[in-house]
Amino acid sequence: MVRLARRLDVSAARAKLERFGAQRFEPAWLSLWAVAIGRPAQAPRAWLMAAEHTPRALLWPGALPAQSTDAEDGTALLDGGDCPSTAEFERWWLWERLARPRRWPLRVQPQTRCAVQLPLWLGYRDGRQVRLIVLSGLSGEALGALKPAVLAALRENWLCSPMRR
Amino acid sequence: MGAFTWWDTVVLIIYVVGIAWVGARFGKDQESTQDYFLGGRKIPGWAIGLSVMATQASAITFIGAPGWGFEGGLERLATFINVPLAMAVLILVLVPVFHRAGIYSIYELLERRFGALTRSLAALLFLIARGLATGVVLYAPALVLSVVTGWNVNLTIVLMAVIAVSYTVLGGISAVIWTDVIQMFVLWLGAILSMVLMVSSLPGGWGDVFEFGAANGMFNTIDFSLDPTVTYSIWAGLIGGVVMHIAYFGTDQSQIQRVLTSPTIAEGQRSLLIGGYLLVPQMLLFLFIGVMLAAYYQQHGLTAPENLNELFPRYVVEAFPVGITGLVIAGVFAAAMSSLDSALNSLSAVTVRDFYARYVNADADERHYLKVSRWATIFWGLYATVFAFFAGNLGPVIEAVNRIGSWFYGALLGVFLLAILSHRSNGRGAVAGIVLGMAAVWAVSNTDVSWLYQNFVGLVVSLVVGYGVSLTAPAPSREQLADVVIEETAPDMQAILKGRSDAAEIVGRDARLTRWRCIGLVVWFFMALALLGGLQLWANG
Repeated sequence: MVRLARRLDVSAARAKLERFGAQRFEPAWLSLWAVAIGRPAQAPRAWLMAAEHTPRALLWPGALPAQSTDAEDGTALLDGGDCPSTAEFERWWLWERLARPRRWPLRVQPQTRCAVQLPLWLGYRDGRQVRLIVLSGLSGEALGALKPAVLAALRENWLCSPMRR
Repeated sequence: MGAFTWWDTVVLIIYVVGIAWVGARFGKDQESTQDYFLGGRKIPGWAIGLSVMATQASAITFIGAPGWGFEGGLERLATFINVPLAMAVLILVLVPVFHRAGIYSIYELLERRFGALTRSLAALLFLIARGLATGVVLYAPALVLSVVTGWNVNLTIVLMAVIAVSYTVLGGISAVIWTDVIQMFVLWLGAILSMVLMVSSLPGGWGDVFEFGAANGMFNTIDFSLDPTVTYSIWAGLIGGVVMHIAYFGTDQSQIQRVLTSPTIAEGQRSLLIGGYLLVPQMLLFLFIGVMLAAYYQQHGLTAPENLNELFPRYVVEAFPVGITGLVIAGVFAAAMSSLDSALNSLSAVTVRDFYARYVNADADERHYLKVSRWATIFWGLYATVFAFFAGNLGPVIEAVNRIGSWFYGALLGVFLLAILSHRSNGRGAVAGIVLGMAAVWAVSNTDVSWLYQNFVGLVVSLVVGYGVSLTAPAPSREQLADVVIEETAPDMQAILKGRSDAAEIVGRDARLTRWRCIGLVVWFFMALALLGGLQLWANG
């Protein structure tokens, strides 16, 4: 398990989420599956990260910025779901390159597949309904594409929580 | 001055080769900072903004808009005045759905929502429409080459097609932010320099231009006529034009691809915002050059070329200093190549993803798909070339591309809005909406009604027919609505989110970024309208 380093601290996340209209926020980790993009026997050029509930893969350039898994105990850990197949990762990589036709020689390296935890900030916007804003803990950008995975994981956590039982 | 000298040729070659070299040299570095998901940003926002504008300020604008302004003055701005409103609708309604769905091709959303037939039909319409418009985009640099060299324009079309298809097949020019910025400056330099040269050649300077424009009604931008046959009335621009631009920027894969490949909603919104703010002033600039050219031709007793698309390139070649002519013509060339590259890429990507990998060969390896995408590029290059031969007969190129789009855009937007806004509509209704929406546009195109209204007619017919026919078939399933129904609004999910929100830390004051962005665009629209109204009042005494 590789836990990616949280680059957006509390004050920066607070400022970002304020701009999106959030009134409350909390940190979280989302578990995903990563696979390297590159040539065999060479250092990975990028990583694709995805899980069962993500509609498409996230792309991370260069090496994964790992940190100790001991940090930030008590932060919500969200399960993104099962690992997609190698074929799914390969297909995602194909569509990425068709959308921006570059880097054709680089291939998915299935043997590098590993579990990762992506740092997130979850913002809650109250109104007639509570809206969720998912912010990357790496770049600070809002990641709408991760909402289905985060919502599914929040529901799963709630179903398993002692309060629910 | 007066001709395209060998110095200009040298500048042109150095510029085009230089842009290609910078793209090849720095494209890789850019990928790791700008393109890739979650990457850190090191490029300033203003450079990204100019890059976005460079993709919008294609050779079509540079060549077509002055000819358009020469012919009809600033009234043609009615076509573009609605762009800020269109961008606000896109940012609020379409982009969040597209982003959440995590799609690569926009037509995938239609398959998930309505089934394979709707996806294929919409993708086919895109291929036909964008292929035809690419023919016009190909014609533009070919015309410039023809003006510069004196060669037959059909020969230069074939030459340009071979060059464009070749480099697209070989991987294309990497869209590097900084080359786009240079491009933008060169095109604007050309525009501003032409204004300075024209004004200095007129005895009364700016006074002559404004006097000529006012006397010939060229500053009458806002026409409140309710007559639907008035092509550029403010209502045609607001009712038909806004539909056209929502559809163009929101449902045309070649345009929305930038948003779909943006890592975040904010980045996708940024490119739309920049277009929303800058497209109107840019169009005003190039139309105003057309007005100035009209004053210039009248004062110097010159006869305008029969093909008004040649007007501005001819002026650049005849009036600009040696070397600068080469630079500006090279800028037009590079802009056209960049537009052609992205158009051919999106045509080829949709062919492979929405048709070949969907129906012909779903399980091939990547090399096979790459090979197919290259053949698709060649096919679309040939298709565009054939159409480019006729593009010269369509009048100003900038109007030609918009007219072509107007045959398809209303029905296409209608089916996307049905998918997103109506949870009762289904595949049967969507197909009926597209087919009858197109039929209605065809019927209206045979009347004297302004072509801008075609977009609105297509939209309304596809929405009404689509919804009505949907009632004759079962409602869509929960899975089919998954992309357009926000899961967080389900009652059980609301309870979970409320519980988490109550326990979470307080952020601070409320500031809705997206809402402010959209309000800004609406304010900008009214400011532009007020400015043009003021100019019109002044011109009419």
